[in-house]
Amino acid sequence: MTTLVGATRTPLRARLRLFGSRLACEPGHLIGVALAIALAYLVLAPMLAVLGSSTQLTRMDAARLGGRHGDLTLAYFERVFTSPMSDHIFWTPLANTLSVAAMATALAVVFGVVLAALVTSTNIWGRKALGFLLIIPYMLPSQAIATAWITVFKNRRTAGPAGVLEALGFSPPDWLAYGQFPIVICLALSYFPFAFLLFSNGLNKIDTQLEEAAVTLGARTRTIWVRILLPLLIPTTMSVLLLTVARTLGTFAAPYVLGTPVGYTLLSTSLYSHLRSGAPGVAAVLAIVLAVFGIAMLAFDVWMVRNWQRFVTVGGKGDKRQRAKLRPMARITQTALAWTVFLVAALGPLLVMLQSTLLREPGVFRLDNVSLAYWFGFAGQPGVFTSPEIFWALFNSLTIAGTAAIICGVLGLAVGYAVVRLQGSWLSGFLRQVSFLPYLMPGMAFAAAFLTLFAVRRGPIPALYGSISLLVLVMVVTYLPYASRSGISAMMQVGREPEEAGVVLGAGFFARMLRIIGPLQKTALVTAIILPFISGMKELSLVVMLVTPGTEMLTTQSLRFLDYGFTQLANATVLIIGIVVMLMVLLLQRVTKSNLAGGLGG
Amino acid sequence: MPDIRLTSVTKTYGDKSRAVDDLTVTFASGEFICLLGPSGCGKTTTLRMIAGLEMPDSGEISVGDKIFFSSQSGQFLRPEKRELGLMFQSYALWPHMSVEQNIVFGLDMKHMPAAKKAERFAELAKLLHLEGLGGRFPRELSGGQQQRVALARMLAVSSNLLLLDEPLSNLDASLRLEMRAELKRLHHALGCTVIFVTHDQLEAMTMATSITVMNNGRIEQQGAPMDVYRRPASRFVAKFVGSPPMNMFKAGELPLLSGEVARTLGISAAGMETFGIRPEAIRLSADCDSAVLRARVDTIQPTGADWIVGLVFGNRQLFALTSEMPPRDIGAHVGIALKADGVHAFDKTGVAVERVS
Repeated sequence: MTTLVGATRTPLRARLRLFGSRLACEPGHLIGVALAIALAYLVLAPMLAVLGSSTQLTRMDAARLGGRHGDLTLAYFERVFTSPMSDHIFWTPLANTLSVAAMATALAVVFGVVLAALVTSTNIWGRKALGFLLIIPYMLPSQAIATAWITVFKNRRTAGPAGVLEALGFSPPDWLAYGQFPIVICLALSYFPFAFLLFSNGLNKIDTQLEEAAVTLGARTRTIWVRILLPLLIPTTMSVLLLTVARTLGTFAAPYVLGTPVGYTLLSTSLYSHLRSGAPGVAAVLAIVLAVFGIAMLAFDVWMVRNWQRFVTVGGKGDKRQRAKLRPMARITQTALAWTVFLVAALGPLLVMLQSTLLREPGVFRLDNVSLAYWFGFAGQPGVFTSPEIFWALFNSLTIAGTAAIICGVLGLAVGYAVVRLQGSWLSGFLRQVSFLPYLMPGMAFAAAFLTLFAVRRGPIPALYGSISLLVLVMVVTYLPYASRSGISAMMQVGREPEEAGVVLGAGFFARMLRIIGPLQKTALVTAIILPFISGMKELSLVVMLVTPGTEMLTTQSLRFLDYGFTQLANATVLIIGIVVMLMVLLLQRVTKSNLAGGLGG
Repeated sequence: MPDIRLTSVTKTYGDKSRAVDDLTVTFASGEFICLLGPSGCGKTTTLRMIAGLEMPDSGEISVGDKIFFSSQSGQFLRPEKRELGLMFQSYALWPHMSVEQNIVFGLDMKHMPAAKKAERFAELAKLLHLEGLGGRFPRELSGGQQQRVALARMLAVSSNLLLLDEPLSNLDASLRLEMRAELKRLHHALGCTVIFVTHDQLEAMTMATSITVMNNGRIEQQGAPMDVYRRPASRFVAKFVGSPPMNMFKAGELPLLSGEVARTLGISAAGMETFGIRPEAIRLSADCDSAVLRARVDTIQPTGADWIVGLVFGNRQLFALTSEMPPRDIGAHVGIALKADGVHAFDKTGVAVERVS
């Protein structure tokens, strides 16, 4: 029996030889293995590090509690969940977070669906322009609306120049200036464009024949919306809900700017303050909580996609929907409604921020008060153009986001290449999963993880805290899910055949890359670089814990200005980010020859 | 070019069933060979293994004394050294290169001087009617032109062994006829060996000089087209080749009909598990009183040249193909007679029962 098996089995030497040929013929193997090792370290190690620091005593606590540094302990979990302090650390922030998330999400979805319906399906004036203008809040950094809010409603509770209302003689009450109410409004205003985008796409994808079928059966517009279109939008609604809730959980800017002055904390600000005040164990536990929320959201999303398949519309001819002709009065009011949202959410904040930088005395709207002092500096105070802080922050933002974006784009396509080439193998599945993992972790949690891992020297990797490379690294990993997902879909679209045609004709790996894959993926690569760059320019929650005085970025610098009461400089900084991002969006549209819709990932 | 020989070639994907299962076959030199089978039968995998784009798990592939692959000795010849041409189902023309750049790419890889490249391009453009299109880009060409560019790109480097994956599936019906003729003309002019893969039995019948029918990673039958059609070796081949497809019945289902079939073939009804009747082997007559078998006319589909007549026999439907006007109208009964050469019987394992001649 054994001889028979031995006879039919391939000799070891032959198998080794074939293994060699396989490696030589399929560069995807080597690329895939290299990527797998790198990703495992960059993605999995930080997660393990957080688990570690949540269950191990720090040096200081070890001395206090009489243990040894590194001893296993549940002390941090107890402190967060059951100690007398737990209310302050966890339960109140949790309740705040959940209520803010619920209200902001509900508002964002309502705004999103109503505006999407108006813009895609009615004849209100300026539909085309609104389609773009309503997305502007999405391009502003997350603190823009909060900063604008504080510029208007700030009262005497905090230092620095007075708010506009205060200067005009009103005194806004605390509830209007700080805390839950403004946070909910700000988050809703900054997240509704996302809902608007998804709902518009969803509505445009619905086959118009589905409606026409209802029309031929005698349904009126109202019935069509209630019985056909809205039910078909349920899956879109669910993913909008999930994504918005997930974003709210990790949001940092609005609660920091508007909540901190009155002690209104969310999980994210609680995590931030514990990390800053030297309680990494507690911070790690909070990071785990945020990550668990993230995982739960994603699991729910996956479950939904699987169970709601029946709602996926069968592809149709996709004609443009006939736009409802509103009666004159309705047309006027609904046009006004849509434009009001634009004014309040996009133009308003921009104007508020701009005017604050142009008025020497805030809130005094007289011509002799208008000056460019805050831009060029006055009385020995540096202005925007002369401030070394802003200059370095801009330089850092561009270098960090730029480097991270380029690495991310290349890495994303490499992951795509390996996944597509090795399709069906476990390596392909591993790459796909691991490169997607960071999506689960809210930015705050991930930053905490990176801080834990790279604050000290680990093996060949030196301590990275305070260096630009740490910021680049954390951005690369955080944006990797978007980059690799678009890389995979770009490579899938091209498929293996164009490359295989080159193989058969004798083109080696480099010839194929340079002459076939490269040119074919040019647009995909540019997109995969610009999108993370935009996100990187706007990024706050991810980097706020990692920046140090030498590595401030525009977003964090603007927060510092606010902390010190330089509202005007803070606003100018946000405006600079907005300008850079909008230029990038225009460039992106030029490159991809497409409309923005749906492209912006993070 | 010598014969292409596959010996015990096996290929498994993941832990799923075998895509190609212990395949041993010889493709004769100079033939126009068709690998025919339903999707997922392993035909494309076989083609890709010959091309060197997939590596078999075990077995041997050789052309004459040149070994492409052998799991015993561990040899694997890289695709570009196999001196063969491969045309993909999607053509895989590179959209960012002009027609000429696409066609001379393989020559570029051999560092051929520019003058020689231009000369070869002119030659190929003439052979494939692509004159004047060298500067265009693939998206500016019609489907038929795109295919001829793909052919030219393949022929630029090698013209001994051509592998074509579903060469006509992306063309519309009228172009298909034209390209079938074109491919036959090329094969004749170049004297090369062609192996092409298709799931369309009409393509296989019309183009190939030798058909290999595959199913579930195994070969069901190999032979000349008319042999495969007239003497299907298995129930699978009988049902797969022919259009409209053969009418198939279980032996016990219609005793009258099975008796008649057994009698026509001169075999005992006992060894017969299923039997099939080609539509064109059913002869219809207006006179149904003297006929042994009678059926009711259910539908009539004129195709122009022929009529496809749907008949109800017992409680089963069967189709007849006739080049004469159906003798009776819908609803009426007709007498049917069977032509011996279109009737086939199969045993329990699906293998054809030998007829007594």
